[in-house]
Amino acid sequence: MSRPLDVGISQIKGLLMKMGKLAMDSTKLALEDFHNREDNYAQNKMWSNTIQILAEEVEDQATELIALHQPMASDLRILKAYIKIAYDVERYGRYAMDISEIIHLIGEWEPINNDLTVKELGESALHVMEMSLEMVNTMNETMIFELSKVETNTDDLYFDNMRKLSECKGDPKGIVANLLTIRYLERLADHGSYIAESISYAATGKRISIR
Amino acid sequence: MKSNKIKVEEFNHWYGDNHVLKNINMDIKPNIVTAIMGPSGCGKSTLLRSINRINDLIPISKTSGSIYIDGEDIFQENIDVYELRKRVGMVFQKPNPFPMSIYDNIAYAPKLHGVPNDELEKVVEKSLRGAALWDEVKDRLEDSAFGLSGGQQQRLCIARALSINPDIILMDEPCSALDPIATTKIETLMRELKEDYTVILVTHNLQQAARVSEMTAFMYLGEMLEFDITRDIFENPSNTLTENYITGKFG
Repeated sequence: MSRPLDVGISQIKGLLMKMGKLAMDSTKLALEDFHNREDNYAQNKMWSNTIQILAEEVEDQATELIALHQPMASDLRILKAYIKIAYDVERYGRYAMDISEIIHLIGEWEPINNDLTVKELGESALHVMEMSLEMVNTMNETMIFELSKVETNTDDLYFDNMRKLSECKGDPKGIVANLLTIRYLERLADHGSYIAESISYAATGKRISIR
Repeated sequence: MKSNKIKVEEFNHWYGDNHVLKNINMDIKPNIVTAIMGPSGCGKSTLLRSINRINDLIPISKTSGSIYIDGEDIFQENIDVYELRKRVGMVFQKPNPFPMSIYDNIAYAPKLHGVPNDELEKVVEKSLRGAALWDEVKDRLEDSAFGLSGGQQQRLCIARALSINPDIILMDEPCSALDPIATTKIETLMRELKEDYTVILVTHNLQQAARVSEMTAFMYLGEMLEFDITRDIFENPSNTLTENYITGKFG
């Protein structure tokens, strides 16, 4: 028999997954904008705002559950984790919007090294995001180690790209667009690792840092 | 590192053939609140009542193992049980003031223990102040204790326990019959009392244990399954049964 608290926790998880799906769609669209020089900023801004509203809903519902049920142990850890994860997913949406905003603000640019490194970095960041959301869905804390490897790869690509860009003599607009995008992608992956840490804590009660 | 105030060592307790406490081991530090929790019938009140040997009053009760207070085994043959109970005060679930005035409720035990009349007033005032009740009753000390509210009656019982100058206070569900305001006052008092006393609290109220205690024990079917820092017990218990109990998944 489900406890009333279980129903509430399940509802919050549903909200997080909904936020996560929007964030994934938003990041994919933002990367398409980058590569195809399309302007879908309005769409991504709307999604980001929706994610933010859902994050507030998560916070409200979690706070209400804490007040009404005074949860302990794993229940309390899960709710603490969900509140933090809501913030992380909200950042997913915000960085995706920020990537979309680049072309909206500076217009088109000439490709730098065919912008290929951004593609690789984008795929890596998306992989981290996907894994982090899978961890939320399954509470499989063991995925943290695999996620950490992908996140490290994202960091490596970011630093490599940054070095290349620092020596690049291409279109200034292209340099700005590439630099900002790789930075946002690196931050997206960082938040993926924070989500993994939160799930690991919720599941085991032990705090692991993979940063 | 403070030494132990109380040490429970391989302690067993039976009511007739019913083995209610099984090999309990526990070190209780001085001047902290230690909470004992567990489902009904787990033995937590029996353990509490063993610390002042009030269970001796039950004829079918027998024990093995030891409980040491300040290094002295309270179950050794030559122990003076009345002296022991002076050192270990107790507060029960329901406030149980004597059918007499507020003043006499407090003065009763010190009188029995030979405190001279001219010192009694000081003892009464000190005890009532210690239980955070003095300001509320100082002008009506001769009124019946039954005229006090439930929360005030419970603090009166705490004052009564303090009147014989114990160094340990046992509390058996002291707030279970009180409203939230009175409960808050008792919990505030517990935090103050630990400055001078070692407090052991039996409670079904998990949030209360989390709020007021430094250490928490979880008992189940007469065994102590977990005894740890309160925050660890409530955030990340190591025993699955503790986890199931405090998250309400028990049974």
